[in-house]
Amino acid sequence: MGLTTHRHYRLFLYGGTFLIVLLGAVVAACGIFWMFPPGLGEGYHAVQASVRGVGKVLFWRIALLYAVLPLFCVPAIVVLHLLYSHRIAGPVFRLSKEAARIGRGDLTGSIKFRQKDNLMDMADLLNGVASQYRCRINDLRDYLSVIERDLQTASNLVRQGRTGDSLRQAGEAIAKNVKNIDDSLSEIKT
Amino acid sequence: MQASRRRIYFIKKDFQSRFILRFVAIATVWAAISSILFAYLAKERLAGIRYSSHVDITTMRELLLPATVGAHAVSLLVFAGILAYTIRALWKRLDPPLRKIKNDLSMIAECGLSEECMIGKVDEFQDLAADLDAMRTGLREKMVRIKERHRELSNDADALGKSIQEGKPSATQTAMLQSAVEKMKRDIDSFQC
Repeated sequence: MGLTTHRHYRLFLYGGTFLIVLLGAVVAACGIFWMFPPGLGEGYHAVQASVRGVGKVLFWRIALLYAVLPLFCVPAIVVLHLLYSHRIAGPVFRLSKEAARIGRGDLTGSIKFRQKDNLMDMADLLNGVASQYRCRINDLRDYLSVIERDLQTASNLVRQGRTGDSLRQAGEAIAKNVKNIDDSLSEIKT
Repeated sequence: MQASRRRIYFIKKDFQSRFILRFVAIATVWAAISSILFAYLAKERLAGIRYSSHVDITTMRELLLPATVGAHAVSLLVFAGILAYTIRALWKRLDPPLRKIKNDLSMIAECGLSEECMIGKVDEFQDLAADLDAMRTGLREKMVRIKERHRELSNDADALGKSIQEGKPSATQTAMLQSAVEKMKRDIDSFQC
């Protein structure tokens, strides 16, 4: 699944939209009865006259009603979907920013979304990327520190003109850590 | 580790506009269908009464309620169907690029920096894919530099090792190795951990 959302996200999106339109329908129905007089009059002829009167204005009044109705429904739908789309757009925006930081070499961050945000698994993946490279860089730093320490020892021994076992051990330790760095770097496919 | 406090809700304007417009469009279609259907049903009802010899209604409610309920029930049913289809279509559009991006991210997390992070040209989330690819490129460039430094360090370490084996190590060799270590440390320090 690519678009991982919170439980019931789609259902709430559907329900929310439907509810707005349902309310719109109720308002429209009330509007229809509000636009015409409640009674049709007493007797056959009075009713017929009322029906003729309704018939004359019906089309334009209905057109006006349904032209006005979206003025209330559309803003509600815009607000609802702005909030719902933000639960995808917001995380995407954060992921982009975090990716830019990682790309610059900043592996310190740990991205965390808001509770209602979607794409949580992508945040975990990006945290995984940062953590993976952080571990490798820390390993490289450790190996280099050991190499530096052994090199200092070797350097001192060379300066003193000693070429015995101690120097050989320092040399072997350096070679071993150079190999460790090599192993660590060779796993990274560039 | 803190959750972000985003205050701007219209943050990805293109994506969110397309997202919102879909639903605005179907709500507008619903309003149009409702009005046409109601006008039609009401007209039929009025015509029925006008040509009837016996009329037993006295209120507007009795006159227009069947048309109102019928028109809105049908239009809401149609709307429910279109809404379900729209949401499904939206998911079908958003899902594949995100799946591809996730696969690419997994590959980067498994140290694969060689392959471009790319999605289809007409897919959503082009910005995200581009930013992730920039991240991959950034990491790759740094890693390539570190590998080059390591090659130098490895050569210098080999040379020193051989000299030690032969019993004639020199201070120049240790200085060269020291310099290679310093250079590599500088490149590694371009990462903040």
